[in-house]
Amino acid sequence: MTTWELFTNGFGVLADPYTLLMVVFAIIVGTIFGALPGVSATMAVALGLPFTYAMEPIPAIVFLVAVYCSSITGGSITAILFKIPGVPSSAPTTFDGYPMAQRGEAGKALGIALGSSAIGGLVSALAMLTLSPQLTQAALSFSPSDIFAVTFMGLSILTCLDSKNILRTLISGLLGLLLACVGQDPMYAVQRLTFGSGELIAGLEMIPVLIGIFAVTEVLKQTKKRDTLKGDDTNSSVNTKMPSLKEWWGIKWLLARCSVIGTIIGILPGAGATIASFLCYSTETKLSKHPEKFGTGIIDGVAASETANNAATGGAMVPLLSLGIPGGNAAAVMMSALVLKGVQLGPLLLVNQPQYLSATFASMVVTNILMVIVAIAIAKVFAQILAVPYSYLGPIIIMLAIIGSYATNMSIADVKIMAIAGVLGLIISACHFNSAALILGLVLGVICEGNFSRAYTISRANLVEMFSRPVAGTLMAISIILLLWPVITSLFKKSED
Amino acid sequence: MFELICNVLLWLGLLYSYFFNVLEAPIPDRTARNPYTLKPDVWPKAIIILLLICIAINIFNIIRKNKNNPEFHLDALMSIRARLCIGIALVVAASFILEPLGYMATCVLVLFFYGLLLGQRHVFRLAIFSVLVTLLLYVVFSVLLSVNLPRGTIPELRNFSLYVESLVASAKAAIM
Amino acid sequence: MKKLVCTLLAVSLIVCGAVAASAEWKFERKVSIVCPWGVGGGADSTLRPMANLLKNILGQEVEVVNVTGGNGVTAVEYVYKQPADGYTFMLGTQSLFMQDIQGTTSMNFKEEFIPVARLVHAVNVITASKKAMDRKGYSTFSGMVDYVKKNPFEVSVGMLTSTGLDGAALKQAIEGLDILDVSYPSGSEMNSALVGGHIDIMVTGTDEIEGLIQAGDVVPLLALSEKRMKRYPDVECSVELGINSVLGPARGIFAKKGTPQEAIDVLVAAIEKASQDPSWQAFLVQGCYDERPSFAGPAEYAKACEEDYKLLSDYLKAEGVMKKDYYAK
Repeated sequence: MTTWELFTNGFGVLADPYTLLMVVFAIIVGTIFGALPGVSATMAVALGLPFTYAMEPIPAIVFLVAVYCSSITGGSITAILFKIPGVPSSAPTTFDGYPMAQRGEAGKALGIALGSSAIGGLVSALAMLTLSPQLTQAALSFSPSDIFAVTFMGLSILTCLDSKNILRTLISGLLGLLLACVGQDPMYAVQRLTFGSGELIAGLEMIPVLIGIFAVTEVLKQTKKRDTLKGDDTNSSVNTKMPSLKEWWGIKWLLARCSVIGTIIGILPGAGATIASFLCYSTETKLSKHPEKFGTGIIDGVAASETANNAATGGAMVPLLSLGIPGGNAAAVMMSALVLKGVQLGPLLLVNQPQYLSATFASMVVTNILMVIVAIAIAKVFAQILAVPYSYLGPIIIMLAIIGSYATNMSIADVKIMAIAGVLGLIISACHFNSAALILGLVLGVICEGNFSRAYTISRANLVEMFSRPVAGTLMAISIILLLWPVITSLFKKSED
Repeated sequence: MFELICNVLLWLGLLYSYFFNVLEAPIPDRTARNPYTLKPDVWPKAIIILLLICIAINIFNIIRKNKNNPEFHLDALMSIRARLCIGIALVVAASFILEPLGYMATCVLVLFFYGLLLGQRHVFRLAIFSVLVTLLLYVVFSVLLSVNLPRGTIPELRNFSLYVESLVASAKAAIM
Repeated sequence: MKKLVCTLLAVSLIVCGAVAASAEWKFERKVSIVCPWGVGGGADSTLRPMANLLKNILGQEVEVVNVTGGNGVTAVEYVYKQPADGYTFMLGTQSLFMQDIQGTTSMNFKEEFIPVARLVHAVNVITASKKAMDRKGYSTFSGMVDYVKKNPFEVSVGMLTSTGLDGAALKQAIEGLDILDVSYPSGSEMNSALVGGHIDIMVTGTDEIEGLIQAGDVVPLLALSEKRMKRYPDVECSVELGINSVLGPARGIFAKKGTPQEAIDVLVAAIEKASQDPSWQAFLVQGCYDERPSFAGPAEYAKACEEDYKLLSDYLKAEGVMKKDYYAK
């Protein structure tokens, strides 16, 4: 089948009014699920599973893809409005989205988030349709040392996140990496750093830590402020002014870069939307002409993270459809749905039944476009909550944080971890450490250590051999320069003083 | 001062973990015999060493910067407000009562007391609000998203949760 | 006073128990089955179709609750905290036994949980990467063994945690060979590393990689079973080569000790009935679970678990990581 035939064939599937109706339904529930804390994209897709029991395999995958894409987008709504990342991949969106909302620019932040989500999603869908075989080969050629190099590059940003505070940012990032080591080690399941606590054997789940450090710390800070601001109980009104075309034009290259990086990260098994958005956020900080503005509420930060996490959705579908290997947890759920229906997944699927690829593509295109409209409507409803006096809103956020961290794993231990992380967030800011760097370390830590360890064994403890691969070698060289650059420049500056 | 104390405590804590808590179980024999595996303690130990160095420099910086600062000894600790302490206590307490009391009671208590803490003076209105939001969140998460919210381990509260669940189940059956 | 209350409570409990015992058990509200692994994984995709069938038979909602983390330990602790009232069960595999023997669970799983029924019993297969095979020039299992003997520590083998079931199965199959173990956190990462030729062989069930085998990217070398597999009649099996390694993942339902026997009986009957269902039979074929007898009742499953416990205890003891010795003399 030619690309054009794939294209028309895919939209043919959606011409069926019942399927189209199900897609719209999927977008609505997907966005809401995504916006609710504790319901990750994987959980949203799993919640959509029962609806597919009565469907044919192709409409089923179309439906689940729509839930998946829209839930990744929905996460940005609560991230921007309440500093609670609805899905983990929206965590970097809070860095700039929440300060914008605080300034009364919630409308603009949401507009950027939803628009760039759609762009990222569309670009990756196109890449999936046209380049699936090539992308698959590229992903397969990524060895553990290459994956380690990619994540290490993400970490190398640590010294640039806050140029005035390099040392403290570095400490925060390293602390994050160390926290990622808690629990059974990724290779031999040996317990580490649990201090005898059975509740820590499973390690620190990312979601409770994220919710604690972002949402709960914020409420506690507000609690402290109430001391001085007695009587002032209302929030500033939400400005629903949308971003201008000029602002969009200003970030065109950023959107292009993040779409490409996001798609590639999405294909790599074990990575996925969360890592994609963190990596793009840090890459854009690095490339920006004004890195110091990142984290203070600029559209670039929101766009980088949201473009990347939606681009990763298309990427995650590539290995699922072309190899039968899911590119992430949400894709694994879709795979189980297809297997239940008796679909034989594997490299032969695209050869024998290309309509799976084309239908997935069509669903992603329709979802990414309709989603913007649906999500704006849902965001408006959520934004109403902001008008509630803080003495009502604050407790609700605490309760959402508790339910959100519990729901991930039905674990009381996770709720305790969330509460401790909330207090830790206060200490971090009192010590001028950087919570974004800590989260970056925590998110990348497991994948970084695991792949380093694998690469080390495969190359038989030979570090030279490990990094003599073209991708790994180049990326490591760039990372080391990036890592040392601010240190070198600051040393020079000091000696001039 | 608060920052200095935190950094010193962190440094000492890391030093302790370096020696006693990096590995808490034996490494499998086959792994230990293989010369080409990265032992599970190498990575965390490397990070701890880097951290020890960085934090030591940070402590040094803090002391140097504040050497001539007379207000340094006037404690930042004192400025932590009572209200913040109560806030922290409430959040931590909530995470501990969730298991015995279950979702319903915890949610009502948290919403009510945290609302009071944030300066809400209409006690009656706040109480009504707490109950309504508890029900709303229950409907969203438990009924619609089928999250198993904790039922509590105290028999009365557990039975109450089961009773509510049976109501929901019969309501669902009636709608179907 | 306290004593009196306790006695009263105890008496009332006994009376309640007696009443329940005399009556036929009927599930009155939704039943939860805890799955220690994530949605979309092998364990979860076995449990969900079964839960669906059980729902129709029992006439009550049967929900799958995924409690993941710590190689299954989190789920064991979760179920252990729930009351043994017959409304919470869990899915278990030999991986939980291994965690128990290694002392990561806070209680003795072997004594606190009872095997209820086995759902499936899969065959593990040693599969090789086509890319790596072409590079290293072997095409059969014995060819690979010869290669390893000549080139120690050159063949890398992927598995999901080397102290897990895969590690134990592999250890038996290639006793004494010097290979590089590489652990992966998920099947999907391991599968793509194998197809990409970054690792040479892996130990796994065949359900997730059947498509890759058909396309020729992955080659099955050896089935760890008593007889050759129906779907790969040309692939040798371990017993015919004189290798004593037949460990394969068995997934079954477990109940906390103290769960009413009547509830267990009703559930076992329901599982047995569901196992006859044509849709379940079709699932077994689809998931490559038809190579070995699947359903096993409480007595038979308990016996199989006991054998596995013994075997895995020996393995973990040899690895020097055993904490709980159930067979100490």
